[in-house]
Amino acid sequence: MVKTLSTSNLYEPNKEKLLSVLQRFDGDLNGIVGSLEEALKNYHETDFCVLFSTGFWALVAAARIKQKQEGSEVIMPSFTYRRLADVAFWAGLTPVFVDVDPVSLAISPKAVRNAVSSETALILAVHPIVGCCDIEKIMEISETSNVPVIFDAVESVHETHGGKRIGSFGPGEVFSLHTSKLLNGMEGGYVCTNDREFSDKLGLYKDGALEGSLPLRIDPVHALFALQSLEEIDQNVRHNKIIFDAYDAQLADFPQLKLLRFEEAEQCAYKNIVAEVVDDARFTRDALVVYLNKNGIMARSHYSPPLHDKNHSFATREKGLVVTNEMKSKFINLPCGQRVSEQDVADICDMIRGFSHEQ
Amino acid sequence: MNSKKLTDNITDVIEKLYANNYFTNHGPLAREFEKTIAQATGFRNAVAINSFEIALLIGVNAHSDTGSLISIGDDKRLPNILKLSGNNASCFENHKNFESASQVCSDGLSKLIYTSGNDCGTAPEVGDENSNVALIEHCNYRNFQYRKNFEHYVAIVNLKEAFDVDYDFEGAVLFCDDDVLAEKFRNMRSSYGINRVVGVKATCNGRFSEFQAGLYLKYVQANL
Repeated sequence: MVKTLSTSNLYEPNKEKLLSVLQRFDGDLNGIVGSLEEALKNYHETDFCVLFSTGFWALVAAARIKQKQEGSEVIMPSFTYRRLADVAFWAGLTPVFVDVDPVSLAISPKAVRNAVSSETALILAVHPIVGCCDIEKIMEISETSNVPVIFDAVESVHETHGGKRIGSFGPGEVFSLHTSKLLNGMEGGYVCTNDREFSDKLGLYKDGALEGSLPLRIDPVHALFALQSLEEIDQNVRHNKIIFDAYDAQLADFPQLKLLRFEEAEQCAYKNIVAEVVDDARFTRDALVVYLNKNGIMARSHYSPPLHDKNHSFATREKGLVVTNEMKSKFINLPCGQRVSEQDVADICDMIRGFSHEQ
Repeated sequence: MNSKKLTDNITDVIEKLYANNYFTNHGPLAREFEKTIAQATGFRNAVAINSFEIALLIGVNAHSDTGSLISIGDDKRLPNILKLSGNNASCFENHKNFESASQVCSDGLSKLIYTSGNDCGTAPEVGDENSNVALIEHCNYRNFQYRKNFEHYVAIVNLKEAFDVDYDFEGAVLFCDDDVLAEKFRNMRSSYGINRVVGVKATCNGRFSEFQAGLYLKYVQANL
């Protein structure tokens, strides 16, 4: 079998242990779902956790429930997950794309503050795939402007911010259990919150029991996979750290690519490998991606195109995207995750150096 | 199904997943499932979706040029699906049978009918004034009652119902012979499993997982 090196995590929980958990539940599939909810609640140090069929629909549900009824717009970054504007569409809101911070690449609190208007129904803050957004400032803007906020934290399982676990901040943090993410449930998503009323509504929403909702329950076997993945998360992160360190060492003498660094003072998952193609590099980011893809390395352009450059069938607005436009052609996502070895990293970096020499 | 049989069934599928070493989207089991069920039913396209409601959402929204939606029967899920899709209530009408729906269709505005019942009166014949109206029929996968009556026909099958599964194993299939429409279904579902990129109203992550595919493949194969 040809080995595919991609930007997905692809963690495989131990099969024997997975089957032993299945045996233990003896056909009690609801028990598996309940156990996962409880385990995630403890893990994220949050009061409530509600599971959904996918992270995408967990975001839609959270946005539907949290939005202010008098508004019609949601503030979100443009430099983010390619389907986030579609989340806004199904949530019945018009996306207003705002800029990111040039250092963290996270949604800029200043841009959010400037974009808030009487039409703003929700702030959808997104943690970038390396590091976190400025949670305190975003929550402060939410409070002072009286606009609810939710956090898209699908790439931030296991991370801490100021020593506090992502998922424990309270207003509503949404995670994914897709195979490409840190916790592999194959499919699935969940919302962590400390708000009982919000949690109760999320529970009704996922059962299709709230007005305007659809049943969005997690498949019990997806929950089983996620439960065992959570059990093995330290092993998963250990491997990711080895891969990050390998890239760090390999690219140390290659200044044309600058690795985005995780916040060492915090707990990190080291899952995603993002590098900046510096301004005076001998190649462009796009040329490098094409070259690697042609050679079987599934590297990706980082959040490309940004959402404001895509065609949507529904209305969108944008507000001052200077940094996003400057950054959108610079970053590359390199292969990562459980199927990538230290030798693979060495081979990929050799390939990149070879490509640079040819230019 | 007793708990041992259920556990054994799930174990079989998990063993296959690990043997294939493929856990992400639209892998070998999803591809085999779609191919097998399309062949079994004689449709050109079978698009597997992670739940019936998401399949209905995709089915309705892929018909982007439709005016109002007419429902024959009283499926309580439709108003919610229309609300999620940004349609207002005036776009939706309930009718008892094809005869009364046809009168509305003849105004030229309404081009999509959804039916989930058997007692729908007399359907138009192909070539009739209303046979070019699109029909989405919620049905069992062995009985596509109105397939012959409509040029633009989509069947939506709830796999849990079709195979009488009494657990939370969701899953559905959209069947049609129209390749352009099927491509819209696939694009709305996700970027995985598409043949080409086509414009859609919005995508909605309706991916059918390898576990869902493996489980329902067993049911389909047992019923061939």
